[in-house]
Amino acid sequence: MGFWSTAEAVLKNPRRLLVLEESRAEDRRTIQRLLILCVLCLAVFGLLLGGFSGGQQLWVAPTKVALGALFSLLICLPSLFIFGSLAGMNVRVEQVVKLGLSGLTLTSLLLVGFAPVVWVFSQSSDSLVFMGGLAVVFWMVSVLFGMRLVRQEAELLKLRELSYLNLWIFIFILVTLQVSTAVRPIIGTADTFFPKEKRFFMQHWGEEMDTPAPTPAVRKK
Amino acid sequence: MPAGTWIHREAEPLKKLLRGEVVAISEMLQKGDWRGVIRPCVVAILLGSGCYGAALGLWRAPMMALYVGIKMPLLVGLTLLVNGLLNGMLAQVLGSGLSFRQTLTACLMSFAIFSLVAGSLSPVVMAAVLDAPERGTEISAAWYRGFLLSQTAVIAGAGVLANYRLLKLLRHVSGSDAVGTRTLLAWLTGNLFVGAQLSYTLRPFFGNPDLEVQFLRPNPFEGNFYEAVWGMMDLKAWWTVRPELAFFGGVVLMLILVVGVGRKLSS
Repeated sequence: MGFWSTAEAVLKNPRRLLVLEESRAEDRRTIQRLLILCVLCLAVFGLLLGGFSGGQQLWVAPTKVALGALFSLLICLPSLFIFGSLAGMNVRVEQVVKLGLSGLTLTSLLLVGFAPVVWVFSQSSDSLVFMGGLAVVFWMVSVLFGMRLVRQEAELLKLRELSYLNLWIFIFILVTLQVSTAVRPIIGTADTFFPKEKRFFMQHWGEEMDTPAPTPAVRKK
Repeated sequence: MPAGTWIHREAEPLKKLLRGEVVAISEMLQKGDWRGVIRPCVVAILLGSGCYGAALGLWRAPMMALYVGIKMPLLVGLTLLVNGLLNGMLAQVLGSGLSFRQTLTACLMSFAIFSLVAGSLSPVVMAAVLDAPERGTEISAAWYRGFLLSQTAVIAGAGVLANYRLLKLLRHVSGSDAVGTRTLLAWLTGNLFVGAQLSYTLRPFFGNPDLEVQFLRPNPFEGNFYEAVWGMMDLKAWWTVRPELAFFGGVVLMLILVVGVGRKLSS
């Protein structure tokens, strides 16, 4: 399966991703293609988010978005394997990686679909809170579609009990939201690459909402 | 032998355990051999509980991560050993048809599932710990409470899952739902009773930030878990502050006792 047909399979036909490839070597090739596709799409979405502040955020935001999302998936993969097995799936490690990665790839493809909308708003709004909220909403919508794909693929892998997978999806979404807070700022600017203060994402959102919106002059500065 | 083959062979029985393939597991239980069942379960407990323990201890200090990474599998192993004889006797008295060796293997399988579930979440726990707020800040106390609560939920959830799998196995092996349930409840009572005391003896696990990092407290055998809980409850003060709640709690306990005894007598 080629690079573009992998993207097409993620969007249209998950069965092709899982059933056609039986060998480990082919599994690994698909994983590589999914990984490249995922990183590219996440980087494009990150670039648009970074474009809101400009400057060094143009490279910082894509790096943080792509690596943050992959890191979230990486630390959740062991639990996907175990929870998937509890749900009745009989899978190899490569298949679990492919399962998680295909979900994240669909998420990132959809985020690219949202990119023009993000660009329009980034050009017309000066509010960090609004842009952050918009990014979270788009992320949540995309990730839910991505996790829907994971569920569909898991059913092909003889999933019996959906509750275990739903629990994993809940954990994964929580992790992505916390990682987005741990690597902040993505949209705004800061002196350091990582934040000086560690916060829980709910606390961070609450505090940001209480902060008055900056004027355009402040933002450009 | 290639590493991949070895890992695959070790993981196969564990995958069956996780999937809850009762027929295959009961066959494994009948054989009870070291290579096919016991060794993979021991490896799962060592790795799973060890990684999860290390993630918990990391919150306090890296050295604490090492200590708890050792103590968590130790706690599981000691609970199994201390209760092994009693669980074996209970299995036979309650008519499950399991021998001492099979009882020990069944409990080992259950602890292996617990360890795998808890261990699979250890990367997430580790990331959460590394992203924790600085100690001494206003938010850190709230974070610590939330962390304790979430880890209690993880341990309880993994325990419930492991026992649910064990229940299905016991029902299949004994051929009776009632016998399977009774045997599990008897084992659970013993394991919880002894496990709580052993965890008290092997403390600290989470690590009190006000106390120094130690493998064991200087007085591990002084006092016991139940005395400590009794002391913390301070029933007299509780009654003074919340008499209506204490009364309500008493009524609920009485009701549970009455209903339990009533059902027992009627059966």
